[in-house]
Parts: sequence; C-alpha cells; structure tokens
Amino acid sequence: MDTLSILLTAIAYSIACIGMGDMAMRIIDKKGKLAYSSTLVGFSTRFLLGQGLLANLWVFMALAGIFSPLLINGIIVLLIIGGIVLNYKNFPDVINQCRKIWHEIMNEAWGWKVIIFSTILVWLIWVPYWFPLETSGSRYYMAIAKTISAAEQLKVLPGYEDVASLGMQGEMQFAALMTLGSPESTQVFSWLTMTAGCVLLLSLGRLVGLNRRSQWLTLLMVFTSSAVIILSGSGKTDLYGVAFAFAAFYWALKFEEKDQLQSSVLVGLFSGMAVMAKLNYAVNFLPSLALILFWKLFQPSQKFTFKTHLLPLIIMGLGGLFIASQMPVKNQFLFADPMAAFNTEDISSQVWYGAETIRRVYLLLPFSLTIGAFWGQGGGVSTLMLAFLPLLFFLPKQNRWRENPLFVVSVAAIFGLVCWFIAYPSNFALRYFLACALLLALPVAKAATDYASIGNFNERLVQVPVIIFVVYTVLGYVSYPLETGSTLRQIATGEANCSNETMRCLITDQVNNELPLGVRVFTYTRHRYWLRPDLIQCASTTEELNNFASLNSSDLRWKYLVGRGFHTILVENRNTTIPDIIRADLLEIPEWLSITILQDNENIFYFQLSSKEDTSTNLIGCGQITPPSWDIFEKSIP
Amino acid sequence: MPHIAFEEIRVTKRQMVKSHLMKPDLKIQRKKLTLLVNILLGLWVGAILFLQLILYPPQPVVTIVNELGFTEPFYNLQGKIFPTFQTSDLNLEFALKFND
Repeated sequence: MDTLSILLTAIAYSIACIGMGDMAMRIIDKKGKLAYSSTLVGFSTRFLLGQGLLANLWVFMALAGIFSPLLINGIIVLLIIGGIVLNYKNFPDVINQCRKIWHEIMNEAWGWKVIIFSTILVWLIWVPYWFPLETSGSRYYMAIAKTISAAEQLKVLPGYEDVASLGMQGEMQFAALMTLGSPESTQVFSWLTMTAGCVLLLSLGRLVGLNRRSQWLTLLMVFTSSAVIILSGSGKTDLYGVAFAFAAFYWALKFEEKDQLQSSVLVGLFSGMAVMAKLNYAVNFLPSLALILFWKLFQPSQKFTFKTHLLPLIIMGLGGLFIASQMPVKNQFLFADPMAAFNTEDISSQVWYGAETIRRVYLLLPFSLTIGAFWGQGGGVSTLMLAFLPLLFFLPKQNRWRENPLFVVSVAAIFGLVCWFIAYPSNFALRYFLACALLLALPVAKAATDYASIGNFNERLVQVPVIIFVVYTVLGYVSYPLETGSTLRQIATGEANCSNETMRCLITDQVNNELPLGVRVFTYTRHRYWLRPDLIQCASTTEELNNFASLNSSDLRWKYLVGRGFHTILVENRNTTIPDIIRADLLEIPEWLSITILQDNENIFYFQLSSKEDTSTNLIGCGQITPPSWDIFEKSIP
Repeated sequence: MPHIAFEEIRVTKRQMVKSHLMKPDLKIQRKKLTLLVNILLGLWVGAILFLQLILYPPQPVVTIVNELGFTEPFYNLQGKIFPTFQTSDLNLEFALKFND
C-alpha cells in the first residue's frame, strides 16, 4: 500500500471514530450543555470517545464471530458518512482556530518562532511509520489483531494466550484497520490518537493557567520524550492509554456544576477506556484522577449534597464499569473465567532487579525518569523536564495552594507515580505510568515560560537549550530509522532492510511462501506478526512450549514435537531456554527422525522434521473447522 | 490608637521592604544574585544536555567523535557514567523467561 493510501485509510477511520463519538455525545449531552474550550477540543473528545466505544463494539462483534469485512466496512462507511454530515459545519471553525494559532505564531518573537516550528517538526517527524515494529508490538499486539482480523472472531494467540484476557482497546483498532486492508495505517492511527490526547492535555494546561508558549513547550516535551518516541510506531498499544487518561484528566478538571452529569459520564467512560487500554493505570492513573476529583468536588465553600457530590461519582463509576464490562464478558467467553485477567501472573510477582538498583532508581528519581536506562524501562520523559526542573522555584507564589489548579494537578500526578512506586518498586517502566509522568510537563513548561518572560537573558537561557535539544532529538531519532529497517523504508524501497530484520525477511520471503496452509510451526518468535495468519493460529501454544521444555531427554522432545504435529521449527537463536534446548538437541538426532536444515546461523534455527516411522496416528492437527478461522484439533483415531 | 486595617499593614510592610530593596547598594547585590542564579541555571542545563549527549550520542556525534580521534576518552567517560543509570543486579531468571 502506498503512503497516501495509508494516510487516507487512517484519516477515514478517524472520521468514523468522530462519527461514533458524535452519536454518543447526542445521547450523553442531549441539550448541548457541555462547553468545549475550542472546536479542536470537541473533535478530539469525540474522536477518542468514538474509538473507545468502537473498540468495545468490535470486541463484542468478534466474540460473536461476526467480525467480517462486510460488516466492519459497512459500519465504518456509515460512520464516516455520519461523521461528515454531523461535523462538516464545524470544519470552518477548525480552520479559523488553526488560522488564529498561525497568526499568533507569526506575531511571536523569532526565538519562540524557532521553538514553535521545531515543535511542529518534531511532531511531524514522529509520524510513527518511521519506526519498525518491535518487541511486544510484533510479538503479540499486532499479531493478535492480525489473528482477529483473519479469523473474523476473537481468539487467543497461541504462545501468548494470557494477552487475550486483558482489556482490548488499541488491539481492536488495529484489527479493524487490518480488516480495512491497511495494516500499515495502524501506526498512523496511533499517532492521530496521541495527537488528540495531546490536544486535551494542552487544553488542560490552559485550564490550569498555561499560556500559548507554555503549551508549545508542553507539546515539545511530550514529543521529545524517548518513551513516547519508542512506543510510537512499535505496534504497541500503550499510547492509547495515555490519550484516554489525558481526556479523563481534562474532563475531570473541566467539571462544572451546570454540566456535571455530562462531564461525569465522560470522565467515567474515558477512565474506563484508559484502564482497559493499560490495566496498570488502575494503580497510578486512577488514584491521580481521584485526587483531582476530590479537589474539584469537595471544595470547602460547597455544601455537601447527594446531587452535587455523590451522584457524579456514581455516574463516573457506572461509566467506567460500562467500558470495563468487555473484559469479564470476553474472559467468560474465552476462558470460562470472568476474572482471568487477574489470574495470570501478576506484575507484582515479577522482580526485575535487586535492592541495589531499586535504591539507585529512587535516589536519582528525576534522572532515572529522564535519562535512566534500567532493564525494561523503555525510555524516559523529555530531558527538558529535568533541565528546567529548578525553574519551578521561580513560579509565582500563591497565597492559597489549594486554590491553584496547577498545583493540584502536579500533586495528583506525583501522587499517582508514588502509588505505583510503592506498589511495584521493581517495575520501573515508563509505559506503566506514562500519563502521570507526562502530566508533570505542565508545571515545568509554565515555570520555564514564566522565567523566560522576566528578561532577555532569561529568555535565551530557556530558548537555547530547547533548540539544542530539538536538534539532538532530530539527529538521534531521524538517523535511527534510516539506519535500521523501518516501515517507511519498506514503503520507500518496497522491501525491508534485511541486514537488520533477518527474522522478518526470512518469514516474509521464505517461510510464508514455502509452507502449505495449516502447517503447525513450533515457534515462539518475537516476529510472529509477519507469519501468515493460518501459521499464527496453528503455532505452538504456551502449554506445548512448557511441556517441551519440561521433558528430560532429547528423544522424548523430538517425539513430542512430531506427536503434536510439528513438522517445522522456527526459533530465534538466542540465549534463552528453548533455543538452548534445541541447540543441544540438534546434536542428538535419533535414527527414526530426519531433519532438513533450511537455516542455521547466528540468528535463526529453521528446519523441518520428518519421521521415518508411520505418523498417521498423530493426534494433533490444524484446520478450518469454522472458516475462515484456523483451529488446532485432536484427530480421531480410526 | 487609631484602627489600622490588616490589609493596610500588609501594604505598608510591602512598601517598606520595597524601598529597602531599592536602595542603591542593595540593587547591586540583587543584580549579582540574579547573575549568580542565572549562571547556576546555565551550568545545570548545560550539564544535563551534556549528560544526555554522553549517554545517548546520536549517530552524527559518534561519527564526529571518531573522526576527531576522541573515541577512547569518549567511551571511557560514557563507561564511567552509564552504570549509575543501569541495572546492576538483574534478575536473570526472570529476564530469560521474559525474553522467551
């Protein structure tokens, strides 16, 4: 698919989301009581609301086995028409708002103009298909979406069964876009989602007293955060949680008495979506949001009544539960256990590293959050946040901190982070608490612009590092996809960079072409997304991988593989359990087995097994019992 | 004694402090203090950006460092700083399982 088609598909699907959001808003806000800060805020709210609701609709359709291209395309076309009809009158407002912002930029001093254009540049170069699908993106998020799209139903992913027990937001958008025939547009759609989230973050900034310059700096800090960049095009779904969390924060802070019911519904729905997109957000984002709501609802000047205090909280809870209902229903259907998500290995039982590293992480916390490279951390927030941190001392003093919304939002963000750090001290990974961490950009950006407004020298002291850092980011991250394989490169040249993406190239060029339909591949590859849909669905399950690893002789293991119907082995050559076993077993091939090595190098083991004995009594196979889905089945013995 | 409102006391106090600060010798001290704060801030910001550049040098910087012949001192410095921000006692058992 060419770049234009990819962009158009993502835009068309976004309009469908806006259409869905619009229809939902007509139910939530019948009388039009909600006042949006701007037209862009209205669009972003409807877009995020629409896609969150669509994800739930897709989950239930997939559970019912009706996730068919005909239905999906039909619904999307209707929603696109709805989105255009209901919103075409708003487009001139958006253009006017953009024109107003443009005039503001033109009237800025040259130093700020450079910063603003740099921010726009960083935002644009962040277009996600600059980055290749990586780690868990190609390992399961994109792979499960491919499975759902191809099977037209919700299925577990062999080898990563427990992933299907979690909430599904981004994965369902990926599946819908794949059904539209454009898997590449999933990455552009993630970018649009994060952009909508940022619009709400910036509007939240305006609510807490940020001026336009501070808003630009906030945006720059978000898009120069390495965690955001790393997560952008990797095929992971973490940024969906961030966007929904920003929407929930915005509507919680916007909460007013005259539209409290409508705002409550939005806060509830968005918080449910954020937690469904990233379950870990229950531990940091929810406490953060609770603190903001407590501040908003329980002002000393307000008289406590059921209608003004408890009713909004009940509505929020119901809104959240409405969205979260997808998880128990889905789990009951797939695992016969509504609580399956909580039965999988909890992250609290994962100890990533020992006390020494934990001590260092928290003693150097501001540094760890920005430039840390601890195991599993996955990037940090923008270094500009650390650089401008001391400027917080120069923020204008407030007589009453409690009346300062910026202070409350900052404390709420810190509270959320502290909750996570206390609950999971050894799981320091930005993706688990990114929304709260990025919220801290607001006070720092305000402090920097306030400080810059004191005088010319101070202004340069803020502007020069910002520009240096933008150059650094552009040099660092633009050169990266040009060196390594990336979707952009693939689009530009028509092929992957095989020197860096060996496994992907092997799969797309050889494995998918050679293997017949329904063959069982013994694999645990991190690149399973690139396998053909039938091969993904017929691949080795976690139970089979565990059983294989638990057998104590090579002969038993070879027999096990043949007995389970595996005639193809595709394993990355790494120093982990399964490759270690296979490496050793290849030295002990029994006489009854013949092995054809197709690739055996420092990257990959790829070989085929054929038994010299009669294998017609093998009990396991893979076929289309309910087409187009492929399922592993037990053969009946004649 | 005439009644003086609390607000008036505050205003009077503020005026007194202001007039005190506006004294010529104090003005110079204030300027010096501002300069010192700015220098400290400049050093802090510079140090952070330098740290970022040392720990995560972009490819063009690596090329320049190599061409200028500073490869060894550059990587020596990086090797001294980096361990502070890295895991020293990784739970290998979990890491292997995770990578599986």
